[in-house]
Amino acid sequence: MGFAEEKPIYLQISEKIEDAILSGAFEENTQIPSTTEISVNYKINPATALKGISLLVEEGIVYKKRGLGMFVAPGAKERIEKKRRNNFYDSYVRTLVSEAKKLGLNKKDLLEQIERGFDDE
Amino acid sequence: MSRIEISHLTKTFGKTKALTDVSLEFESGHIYGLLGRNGAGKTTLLNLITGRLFPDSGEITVDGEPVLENDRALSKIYCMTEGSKYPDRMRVVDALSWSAEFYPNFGGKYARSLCKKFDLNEFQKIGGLSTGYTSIFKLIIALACGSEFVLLDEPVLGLDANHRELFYRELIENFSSSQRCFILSTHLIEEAATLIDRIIIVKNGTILLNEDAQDILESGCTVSGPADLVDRYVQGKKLIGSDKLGGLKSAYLMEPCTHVPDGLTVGTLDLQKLFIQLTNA
Amino acid sequence: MNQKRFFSIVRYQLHDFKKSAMIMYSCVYFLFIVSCIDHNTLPSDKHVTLNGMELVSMITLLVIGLVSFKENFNFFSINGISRRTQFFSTLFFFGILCAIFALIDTLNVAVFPHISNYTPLFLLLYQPAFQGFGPAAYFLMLVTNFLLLWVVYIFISMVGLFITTLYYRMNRGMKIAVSVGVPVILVNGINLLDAYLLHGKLMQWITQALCAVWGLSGGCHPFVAIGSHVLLACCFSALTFLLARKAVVKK
Repeated sequence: MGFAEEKPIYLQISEKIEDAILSGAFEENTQIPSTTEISVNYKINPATALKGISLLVEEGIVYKKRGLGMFVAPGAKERIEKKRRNNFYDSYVRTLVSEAKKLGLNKKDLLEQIERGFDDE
Repeated sequence: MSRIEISHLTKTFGKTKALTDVSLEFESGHIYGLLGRNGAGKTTLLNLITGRLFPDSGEITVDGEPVLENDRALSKIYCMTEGSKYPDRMRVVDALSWSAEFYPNFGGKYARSLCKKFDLNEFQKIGGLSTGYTSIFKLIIALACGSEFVLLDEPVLGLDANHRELFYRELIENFSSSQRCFILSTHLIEEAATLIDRIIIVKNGTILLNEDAQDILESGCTVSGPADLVDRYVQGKKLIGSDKLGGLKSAYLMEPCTHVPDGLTVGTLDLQKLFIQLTNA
Repeated sequence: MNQKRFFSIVRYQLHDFKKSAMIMYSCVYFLFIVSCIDHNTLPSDKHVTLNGMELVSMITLLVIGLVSFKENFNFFSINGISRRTQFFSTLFFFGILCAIFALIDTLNVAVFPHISNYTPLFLLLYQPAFQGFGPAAYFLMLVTNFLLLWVVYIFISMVGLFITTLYYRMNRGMKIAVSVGVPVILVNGINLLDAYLLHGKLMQWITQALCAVWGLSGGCHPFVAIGSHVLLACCFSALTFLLARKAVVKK
């Protein structure tokens, strides 16, 4: 099922949808799976799926077309990127630095690792 | 929007107090998880709701009407019990057509399509079904009966992993379109955890917990790490229980985890862990 | 909606016992046919007489009564039917079933004495009552036969139903006490009482009571028999209702 224990399921649902939008799997103004489809697929209560989608509606990432379903909002991709860039430090950098410190790597070592990461691309 | 109201229900069998002063409410549009250890009183509660047992005191009403000896109220409820209450020599297809006679909203076509999906031979006699297929037969009727309230007592008993997954999908699809009330009594807490939106924990015949699933799981957390760090962090906090492995410890708290020091990881509260901790003592 | 379910229950039970009824009547008609053939082919000093076939119906109905609780209670309970509805629709079912049996048996009474050596049960008992009615007597006799058979059959079904419901409600200890106690009291108890205390009076009373119930004391009154059996059927069904209304599901 693929649910890690760190985050509430509704958050994981909204993040999965955001990932799909970022990767281009869901394009702007196209329909995303319905609450029912999502809940059946992940075997979760529809209320949970709805909570995840409501979160995206609040952030202006998806919108509701009456009688049809939920659609990707225009500019959603940019909005997600901006949000994630703002949270990048909290989501990744802090953990990275703390892990590096645990292993005894100093700033210079860490920067070398990061450069290696970009070179390897 | 239908509602079952249970007030101050007590039931004793000889010297054993099966249920003591139980009060609950069940509404359409929710999937309830009725959790409890063996012998906690879950099956007794389900049997009382369907009028198969008589309470010693207390009352159960469906949309305001008492449920005892009341055909109209009883037709709003279907309970999938342990064991088969159908005649052994009856065939599956006949059981389905008789169910349609007694439950006016029974979906015959839906039931037959479920039989195909689960690979259940409609022409087989009920007495000849294996444990797993007896469960499948019962849950097909439960899903198709169209009643406002569907009570499922250990629905996946004997089902293989594929059929369990199929059942959960069908359950959610059915719930999503009908918004009827499902009450799921099960021991498989991990599997049920994502499906249910209200948790009821029964312990020794009383209600230990009756909460919205998301609320209760979000109001708690799991803190893991070196044992001494964890012990220091949980000082003065609402601790439900903990697990220890060598020098590592996981503590389960009934309050949000904030300002967690480095070296400790935070996770969501796991329903099964919560259940075990609450019902162990 | 309640009506629909009521009749669904009746239909279910009729459907359930269709096979048993057909088997029973196949046996009965087989015997009839044998006696017919025999009657018309053997030399006149050798013959087979056939009588009391109604007893077969009675035994079958008693057995149907005896199996009509536990399995049905479970099946109807799981289909959300109250005990009250179950009981009254079962009564209605027996009313219909017994009427069908009574009708067929009465037709047998009308037909078979003419083609074989068959003496119907009740004709033996009540013939004198119809002496003074002339040509209508025969028709009246058949109607009385039907009514009498109908109520007797219902009474016997109710006895079967009562016994099975009683057993369902009893716990193990009580079941043993009743299963052993009742036959012992009926057989040995009555005999002992009569032999040592009442000097044969108990058996006399019992015989007199039976005659009264059957309308045979001081003449031939088939309608007394009909009335008394209606009363007895009501008693047993009332007792059954008192037992059934508190029945609970068992593991």
